[in-house]
Amino acid sequence: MVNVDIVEKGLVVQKKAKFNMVELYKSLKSWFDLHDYEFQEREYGEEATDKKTAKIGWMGRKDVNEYVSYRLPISITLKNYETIKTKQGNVVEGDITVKIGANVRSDYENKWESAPIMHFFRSVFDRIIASDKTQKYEKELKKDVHDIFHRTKSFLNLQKFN
Amino acid sequence: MGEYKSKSEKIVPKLKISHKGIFDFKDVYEGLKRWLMHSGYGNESKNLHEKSYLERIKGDSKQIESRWTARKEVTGYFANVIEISFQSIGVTDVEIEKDGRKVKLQKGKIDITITGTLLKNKNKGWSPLMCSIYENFVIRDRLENYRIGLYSKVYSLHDEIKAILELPY
Amino acid sequence: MEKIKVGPGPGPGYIIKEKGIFNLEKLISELKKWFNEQEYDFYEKKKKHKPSKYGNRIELKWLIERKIDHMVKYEMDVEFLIIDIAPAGEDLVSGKLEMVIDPNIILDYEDAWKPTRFKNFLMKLFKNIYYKDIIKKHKTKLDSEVNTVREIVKEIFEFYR
Repeated sequence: MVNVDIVEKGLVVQKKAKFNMVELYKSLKSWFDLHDYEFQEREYGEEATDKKTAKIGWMGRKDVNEYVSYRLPISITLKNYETIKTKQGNVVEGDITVKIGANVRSDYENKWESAPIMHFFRSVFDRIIASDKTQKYEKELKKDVHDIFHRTKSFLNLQKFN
Repeated sequence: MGEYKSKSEKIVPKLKISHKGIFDFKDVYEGLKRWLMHSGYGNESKNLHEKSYLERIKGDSKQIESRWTARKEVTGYFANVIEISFQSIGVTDVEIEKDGRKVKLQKGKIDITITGTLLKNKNKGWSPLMCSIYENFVIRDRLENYRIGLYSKVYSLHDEIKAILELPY
Repeated sequence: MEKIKVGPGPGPGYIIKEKGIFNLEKLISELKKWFNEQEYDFYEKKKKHKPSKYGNRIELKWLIERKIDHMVKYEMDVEFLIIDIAPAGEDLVSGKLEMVIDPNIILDYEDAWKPTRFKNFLMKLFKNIYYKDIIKKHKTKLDSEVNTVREIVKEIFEFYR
């Protein structure tokens, strides 16, 4: 089983905004591509009744080496939104909540789980022998998560539509 | 060092949702099963067990009780266990008009209780000394992460139940 | 035979949910058409239709697979659960739909390397040393095909409409 070290529980952006959802998607996806993360849309759900709601789950994954992998789970919730036609194209206006987490996964291929003693040695290795490297990974991931968080905030703040 | 008894930790002892009114029991029941499945807890042949299901007819109404246990292996040492119990009292079937058509729902009171437990030394394969060294020295920092992980999961389930019951907050 | 999961955990694959009005027939026919064009073999493992005056219920389970070579096969388990279905206009229905796509790569699908322990050992060696990068490429390819399937579905639901 993989070991998960949480670097960020959840950075949240929440506001009532008018923005182009497709552009937000492209913006975040291009960030993932630039930083060599694999991008997966795990979940997408929409309720198109009188008050529209959408819930989207994304995951950014980067295998640093054979032992360590970074994960950036992002969840986007859109509540009470409507689609508006503007000069710049179709935009959505509603309450958006973006939550971005970050965790470092070690032994993500479960190579050190064959016996309890192997699991124990792995944990000793992580805690004592490789503690400097672990801290380095956590620092790097923290920088990435804050980078994407600020990018999201900028995107939502700067979007203006007529 | 004396004998170390590795105990399970109740991370969320008892989280309760109570609703009196109209609800869709099937939606709640199936919705929860699907949530557990999507979260990796819900394989009925392996890690999701319905411990009991009781249905009693009392006059015109029904009383339904059900208890589930869902388990997910976190590491070779830890497992998350989520227990859910439903109790619905005075349940009657009602037909209401929704979105221009008739729907069959239930009216009554429903109580749902969730507990989250972090199981340690889940396979009992470790000696007490190893458990003690492991928990107190090797993974002391990580242990907090596992607690947080289970806590978030239980509260996420709590939000899901509220959404299914269409509770406003 | 070994099954390698593709896509994010923890549960089964990718989830799409929709509550509202949509064209169910178009969704199913477009998906079947795409699978056919991509030369996937299509098997309907389960089809359950329960009519009710309060809204019909449909459960579908598909197995879609494609043999890449003598060692590798792509497989997608697709499940639909559609409830509270009622007509809502020409070709449209209203209801709740949940679709789960579970993609996997099947290695040694003919069990050619299973019969003896020695062959099994060679297979593990082969997989961990020689085939590792190739498996990664296959994972990326299958993932992108699943993405295309999901885009077809979202197009039909006219997401952000």
